[in-house]
Amino acid sequence: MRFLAVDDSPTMLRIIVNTLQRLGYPEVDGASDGVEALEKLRRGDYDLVITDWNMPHMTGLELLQEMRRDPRLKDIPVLMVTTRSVKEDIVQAVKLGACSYVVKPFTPQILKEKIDQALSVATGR
Amino acid sequence: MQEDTVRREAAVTRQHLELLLKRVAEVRALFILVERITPFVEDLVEFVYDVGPMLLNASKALRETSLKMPKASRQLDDVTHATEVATTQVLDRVDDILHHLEVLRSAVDEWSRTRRSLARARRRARRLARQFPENPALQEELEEIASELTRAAGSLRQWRNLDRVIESSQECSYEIMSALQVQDITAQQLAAARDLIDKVHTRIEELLRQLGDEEEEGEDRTQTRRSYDPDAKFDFSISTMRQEHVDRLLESLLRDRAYGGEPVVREGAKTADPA
Repeated sequence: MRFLAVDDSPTMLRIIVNTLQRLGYPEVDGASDGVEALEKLRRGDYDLVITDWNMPHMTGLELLQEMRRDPRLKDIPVLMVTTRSVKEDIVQAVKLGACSYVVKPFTPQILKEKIDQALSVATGR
Repeated sequence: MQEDTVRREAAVTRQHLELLLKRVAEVRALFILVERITPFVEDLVEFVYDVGPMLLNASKALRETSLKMPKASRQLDDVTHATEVATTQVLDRVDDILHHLEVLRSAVDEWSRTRRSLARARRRARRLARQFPENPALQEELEEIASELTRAAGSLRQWRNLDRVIESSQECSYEIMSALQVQDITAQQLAAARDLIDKVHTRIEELLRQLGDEEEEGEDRTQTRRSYDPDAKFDFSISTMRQEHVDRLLESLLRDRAYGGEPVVREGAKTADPA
């Protein structure tokens, strides 16, 4: 399993990568915004994208939108990890195809639960 | 003929006189108006006279405040940077601790294996001793070796709880790591405060320009700023509650989608945020 974690906060990115490794997913790459994430996604094979919402240059939602437009990336499950929990935001994320949603600050258990959920949705497609 | 001329002249003169009287009446009305307006004008002049220094003072105060604002913004950035550096250092140390704990775990595993081979060696020594009943000296020697092995295994046995200590230390390290999410969330809160300061600064600068006070050499405000959520909060109990609400909402939205419908925001709650 190869994951891509996307967050503009270096601290948060490191916490997500470390937590994923602790949860048994050693292959995790990081990107600091949507633009870098898209470049990495187009270059490599990833099984799951875990992305923040608020980022400069390209937000998590714009990244999701771009991924769904790209035939090669459209089926990669995307998990949003964000402080935003306004109903309209969640609806928007789901409309664009987010598989699951984690509210920051999160516990490793919640992250694990949502990753399993996102991966099972992806395999069920 | 001369009589006609005189009559015409008289008519023209009367017209002129009427016009003149009309103008005089207008001028009189104007004087009356001016007379009535004068106190207002005097009040206005007095007001401008009073307000002038006040505006000047206000302008000075606004200018001073405006000059302090970029510094306040910079200080907020410095705080964010400092917390980021400190958090990175803590994360580095947590990584070191986790690495040391892994080394310790390998040592504990090795000790367990050694203890098991010591136990095997002890059993072999005793078995060997039983095979030579005719040689009590050898038996005694082998028994001594077995006892020595038992003592050695016993000294390693005292470390058997180390496994639990390592596990609990790892848990603590992971908890520290999770708690460090506070840096990201406070950075978002500080970014929101900074944005607010910048907006107020821009408004004050506009006001000062209108008051004729030219803007002083400002800072470059075009640099890339961190995106933020103004409602970000660091509280695990709140985030747990929010997560539960999000899960419920997500479930219903995904169900709608599964049945071919478009996810919709139903009337009622505008937000999934219970906090």
